[in-house]
Amino acid sequence: MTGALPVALGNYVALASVMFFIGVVGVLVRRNPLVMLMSIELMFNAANVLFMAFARAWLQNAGQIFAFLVITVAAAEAAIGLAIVVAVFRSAATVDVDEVRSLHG
Amino acid sequence: MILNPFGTADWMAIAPIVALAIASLLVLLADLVARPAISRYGAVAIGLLGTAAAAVLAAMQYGHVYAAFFGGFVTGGFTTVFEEIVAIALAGSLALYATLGDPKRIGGTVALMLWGSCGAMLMAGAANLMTIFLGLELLSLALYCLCGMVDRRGARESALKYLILSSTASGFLLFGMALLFGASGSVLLADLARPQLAANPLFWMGSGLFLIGLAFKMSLVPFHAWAPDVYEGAPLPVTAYMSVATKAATLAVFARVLYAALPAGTASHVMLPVWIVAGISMIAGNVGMLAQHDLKRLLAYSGIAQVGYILTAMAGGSALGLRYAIYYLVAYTFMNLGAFAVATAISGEHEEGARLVSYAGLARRRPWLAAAMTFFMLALAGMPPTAGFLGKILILATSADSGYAWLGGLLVAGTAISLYAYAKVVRAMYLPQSGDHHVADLRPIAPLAWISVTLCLIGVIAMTFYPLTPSNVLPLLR
Amino acid sequence: MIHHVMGNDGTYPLLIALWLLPLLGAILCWGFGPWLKARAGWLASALVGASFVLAVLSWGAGTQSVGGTLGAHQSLLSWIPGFDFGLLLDPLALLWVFVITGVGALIHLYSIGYMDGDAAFARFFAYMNFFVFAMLTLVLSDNFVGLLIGWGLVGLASYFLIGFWFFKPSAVAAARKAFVLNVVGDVGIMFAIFLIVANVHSIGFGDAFAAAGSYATPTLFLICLGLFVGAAAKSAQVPLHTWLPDAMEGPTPVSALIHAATMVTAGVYLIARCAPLWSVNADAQMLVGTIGGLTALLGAILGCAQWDIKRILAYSTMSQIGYMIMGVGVGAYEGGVAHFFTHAFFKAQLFLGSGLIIHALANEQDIRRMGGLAKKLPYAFVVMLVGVLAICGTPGFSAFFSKDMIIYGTLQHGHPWLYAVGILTAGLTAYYMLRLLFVTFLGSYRGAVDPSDLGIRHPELAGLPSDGDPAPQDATAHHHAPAWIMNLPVGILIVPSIFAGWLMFGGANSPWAHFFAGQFPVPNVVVPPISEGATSAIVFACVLVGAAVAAARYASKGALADAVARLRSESVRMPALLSNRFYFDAAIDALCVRSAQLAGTFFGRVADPHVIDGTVREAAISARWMGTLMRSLQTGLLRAYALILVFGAACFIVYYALAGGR
Repeated sequence: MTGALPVALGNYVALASVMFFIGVVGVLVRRNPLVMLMSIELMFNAANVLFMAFARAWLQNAGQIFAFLVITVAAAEAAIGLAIVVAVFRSAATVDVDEVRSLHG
Repeated sequence: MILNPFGTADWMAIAPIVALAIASLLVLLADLVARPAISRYGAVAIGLLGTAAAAVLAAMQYGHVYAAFFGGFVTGGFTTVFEEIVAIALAGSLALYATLGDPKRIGGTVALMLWGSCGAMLMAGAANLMTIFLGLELLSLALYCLCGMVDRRGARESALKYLILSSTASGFLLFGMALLFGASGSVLLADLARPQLAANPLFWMGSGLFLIGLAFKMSLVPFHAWAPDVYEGAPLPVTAYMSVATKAATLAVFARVLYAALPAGTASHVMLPVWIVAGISMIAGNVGMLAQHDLKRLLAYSGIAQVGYILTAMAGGSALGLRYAIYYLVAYTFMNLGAFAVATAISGEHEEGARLVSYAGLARRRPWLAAAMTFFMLALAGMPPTAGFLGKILILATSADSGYAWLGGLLVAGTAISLYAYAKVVRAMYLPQSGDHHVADLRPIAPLAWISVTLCLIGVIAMTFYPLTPSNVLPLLR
Repeated sequence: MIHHVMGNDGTYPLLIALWLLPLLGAILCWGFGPWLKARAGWLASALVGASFVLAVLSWGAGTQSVGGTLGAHQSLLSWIPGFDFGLLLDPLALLWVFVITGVGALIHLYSIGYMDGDAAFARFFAYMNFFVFAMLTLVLSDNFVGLLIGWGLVGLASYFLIGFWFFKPSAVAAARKAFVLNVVGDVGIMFAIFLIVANVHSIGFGDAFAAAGSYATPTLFLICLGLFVGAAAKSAQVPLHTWLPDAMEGPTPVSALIHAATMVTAGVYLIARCAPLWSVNADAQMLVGTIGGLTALLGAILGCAQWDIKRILAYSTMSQIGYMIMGVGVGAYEGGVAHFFTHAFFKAQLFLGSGLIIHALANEQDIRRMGGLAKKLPYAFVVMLVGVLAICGTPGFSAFFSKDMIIYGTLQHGHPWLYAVGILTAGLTAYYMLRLLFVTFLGSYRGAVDPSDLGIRHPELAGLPSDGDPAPQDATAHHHAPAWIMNLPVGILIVPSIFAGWLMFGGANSPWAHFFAGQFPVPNVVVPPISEGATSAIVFACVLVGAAVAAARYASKGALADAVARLRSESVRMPALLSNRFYFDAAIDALCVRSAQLAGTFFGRVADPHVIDGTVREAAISARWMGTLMRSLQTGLLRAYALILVFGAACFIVYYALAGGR
C-alpha cells in the first residue's frame, strides 16, 4: 500500500533528523531569542518534511494536512514570540537570554 | 454520514469548547464597546458564565462514548472528568483575576484564559495526533501571552523562558508524532495499538520523542527546569491555572496513550522511562521545595512531585489505577487552587502574597485564612484526615498490586521529605515572629477570593468523605 | 450485664455519645467562653464525667465475647472496600477509656481551682475537652487511619496546651519541640500504615491482624518499626524523649492529664493493640523491649540529677513508661497495661500534689527552695507520700503488683538482661522519689534563703525554668476557688493509687486476667528459675537499698542540719568528681548513685541539648542542603534549562533506540 517515492524514504528520515538536530543545537548555542525561535522553526519544519514524506509513502493525506496545521501554529508562535521578545526588551533593555535571569534558585 | 463533519453529533461533542470560545468573543466584544464600564468583575462574570455553560455541557456528555470529527475527538466519562477539572481550574483562576487583574487588560486576559481552556478541553478528548497538537499549542500559546501580561520584569522573563523551552519541547513532541505517523500511516491514536508496530523502530523512537514532549508539559524531572521560574514570574492566577489545567490536560493525553494506544504487551517497556522520571520527580520535587522562600516556587516543586504521585497510580495500567489517579488529581486540583486562593487573598495591591515572609504571623492577623492554608498544606503533604492522605493510600495499594512497589516506596520517601517543606509554610504562619512589618497593610479581602478559598475547602473535605473514583471512564477510544 | 443498650444488629450507638460528649464540651467552651466564664470549667468537667458514666455502663458490652469477637462495635462510615471507619470498645480500649474519662474528669475538676482567675479560663477547658475527645478517638478507633487521626489530634491538643501560656518564650519553644518530635513519630506510623494497606488492602485492625502470619518477615519488622517510631515519639522513649521534660512548661493539670496519665501512654496502647503483629516477630519484640528498658533506666538516672519538682516527675514518667513499653514489648501485655493503669493514678496524684505545692508557694518549682513543708502543707505531704510509696513499689501499694508483673514477665519471656535492668531501675526509682520527698518536706523551709546560697546561680543551666506558672499572680488579689475543688480530686486518686494493684493479685485467677481474657495472644512462656515471689522480694530489697541511700543523704540528722550548705555543694559541684565532702556516703554510693548522678548530669546537660537535639537539627540542615543543591541547578539561565531538557531527551532517545532496535 506504500506509494512509490522518487527518493528512498530513508533519505527523508535522515534529512529530517539532521534538520531537527541542527535546530536543537541552535536552541542550545544561540543567545538571541529570535535566532532560538528560528531554530525551533527548523525543528518544526523537520517534522513537516517527515509528514510530507510519510504522507506520500502511505498515500495518506492526513500527513499533508498535519503539515499545514504545523505551519499555521508556527506562524502564530512566531508572532507571539516576537511580541514577547519586544516586551522583554522594553523591561530589560536587552534580548540576550543570558542576561535575562532575574528568576532563579 | 461521514461526509457531514458538521453533523449535530460532532457539534454536541465539542459543545463545551464552543461555549468557551463564544464567551471569549463576548468578553472581547464587551471590552471593545464598553471599555470603561466593563470592570474586572464584568469581564470575569462573562468568563464565569461561559465556564459554567461549558461545565454543564460537559456533564451532559458523561458516559456517552462516541468519536466525533472522524475519530479526532472522543467523548465519554474520561473526557468529561478532565473537562470538568479544566473548568474548575478556569473558574478558580478567573475568580482570582477578579481580585488581581489589571483593569486595562482584563478583557484580553479573560479571553486568553478561555481560549487556553479550549485547548485544554480539546486535549482532554483528543483521540488523534492532530487534535492533541492543536489543543496543546492552543493552550500553550495562550499561556505564553498570559505569563507576560503584567508590567513586571519577572513576568516578561517567565514568558520568554516558557516560550522558548516549551516550543523546544513541542518540537520534540511534533517530531515524535511525525515518526508515529510514519510507523502507522495514520494519525489516529487507535491505530497505534496495532500489534505489528511493536517491532517497528520508528514506533519506538516516535513514542520516545512524543513522551518527552508530554513529560515536559507535566514538568517531570529532568524536563522540569522551566516550572519554578515560570511559576514564580507569572501572575498568580496564571500560575494557579497552569499548576492544575496544564497538568490535567497533559495527563489526559498521557492516560489515553497508555491505556488505548499501545500495542498489546509493550506498555511496560514503552513507558519505563516515564516511570523512572516520575520516581525521580517524587524525590527531586520534594527536595527542591526545602530551600524555597517563595510560595509559587514551592508549589512548582510540589507540583513536580504530585504529578509523580498521579503517574504512580497509573503505572500498572490497571483500570483501578486510572480511577485512583483521577481521584487524586481532583483532590489535588482543589488543594492547589485553595493554596493559590489564600495567596491571592493576602496579596497587596502591588505585591502578590507569594513570598513566605508575608505569611509570618498570619495566624494572628487572619486566623481563618491561616487555618485554611494549614489544611491545604496538610492535604498536599498527604496527612490524615485529608483527601491527600486517602489518595496516597489508594495509590500505594494499586502500585503494590501492579508490580510497581518501587514507585510506591519512592512515594513514601518523597512524602516524608515533603512534610518538612509544607510545614515551613505552616510554621511561618503560626510562629510568633517579628515578621509582621513585611506586610504593610492588608487590604480588605475580596469576596471572590474568600468564596474560592471556601469552595476549595469544601472540595477537599468532600473528596475526603466521598470517594469520587468514577467507574465508567473506560474505554478511552472507540 | 448492660446488654439492653446494645442495638439489635450488634451495633452499639452509645459509643458515639461516649466519644462525642467531650467534643461538644470543647465546642461549647470555645464558642460560648466569654458568656460561660467560670461555668466553663463545670460544664467541661460534667461532660467528661458523663463520658465516664457511659463508659461504666458499657462495661458489659465492652467485655462480652460474641461469636469469637470481643467487645462492642459501631460502624461510622463506609468508604471504599477495606476502608471502613468505626468505633471498637474491647477490654483494652475500655481500660484506656476508663482512665481517660475518669482521671480526666478529676483533673478537670482540679483545674477549676488551679486555673481560677486565668484570663483564658474557658479556652483552657476547651483545649482540655478537645484533648479528651482526641484521646478517645485514638483508643476507640477500629482502624489504623482513625488511630492516626486521633494520634495527630492529641499531638495538636498537647501543642496548644504546652504553649497555653504563649507569652512565655520557653513554653512556645517547648511546644514547638514536642510538635516536631511528634511529627517524626507520625511519619513512622504513616509508613507502617502504607505497608499494611499495600499488603492487606484494608485499614481495619481485624484484617491487618488476621493476616499477621502472612506478612514477609522483613515487611512485618518494618511495619513494627514504623509503629514503634510513632510509639517512641509519643511515649518519650530514647532517643525521642527530649520533649517530655520541656513539656512541663504547660500548666500543671496539663502535665498530670496529658504528660503523665494518658497521652504519653498512647505508645503503650499502640503496641498492646498491635500485639498480634509483635507476638510473631521476635526481632521487633527485642527492639521494643530493649528500648523500653533503656528508657526506664535512663529516665531514672536523669531523675537523680534534677531539682525542679515537675522535671523530676517528668523523668520518672519517662522511666515508668519505659517499664510499660518494656512489658508490652517482650510480650507481657497484661503487665504492661496493668502498669499503665496504676501509673495513671499515682502519677496524676503526684502531679496534682506537686501542683498543690506550686500553687501554695506562688509558683516555686525548685525543691531546694522548699523544705519543711510537711508541717505547712500536711495534706500535700500525705498526697505526695502515698504517691511516692506507690511509685516505689511498696508492698500493698498499686505499683508493687504491676511493676512486678512486668519485671517477672521479662524473665518469663526470656530476657534476663531486661530483668536486671528492671530491678536496678526499681532501686533508683526509690532513691530519687524519696529524695524528692525528703528535700521537699523535711528539714526547715528554705524559701527565704538567698538562691545563690543554695547553689542556684544559673537557673537556665540547672534545667530550671526562669519563671514558673504565671497563672495566679497574687494569692490575695482575687477571689480564690474553694480549696476543696483542688483537694477532693487528689483525695479521690489516693484510693486507686493504693488499691488498684490488688486487681492484679492472684495470677491467672485475678480479676485482671479475667478482664483481659481473649484480648492478647497467648505466648509461650518459660518457667523461670526464679519464682514470682522471689522476684518480688529481690525488687523490694533493691527498693529498700535505694530508700536507705536517699534517707542517709537527705533525711539523716546531719543532712538536715546543714541542708543549705549541703544543697549548695551538691548543686554547684554536681559534675565534679572529687568535690564531695561526705566521704562516707560517697563511699556508699560511689558505685551506683554518684555515677548515676554523673551520668544523669551528663545526659541532662550535654547529651540532651547538644547531641540529640543536634542530630535533629543536623538532619534538618542536611535536608535543606539538598534543597540548596536543587536550587543551585536552577541557575536562571534559559540555555542551561534547555541543556538539562536536551540531556533528558538524549537519555530517552538512547533508551528508545535500544528498545526499538531489539
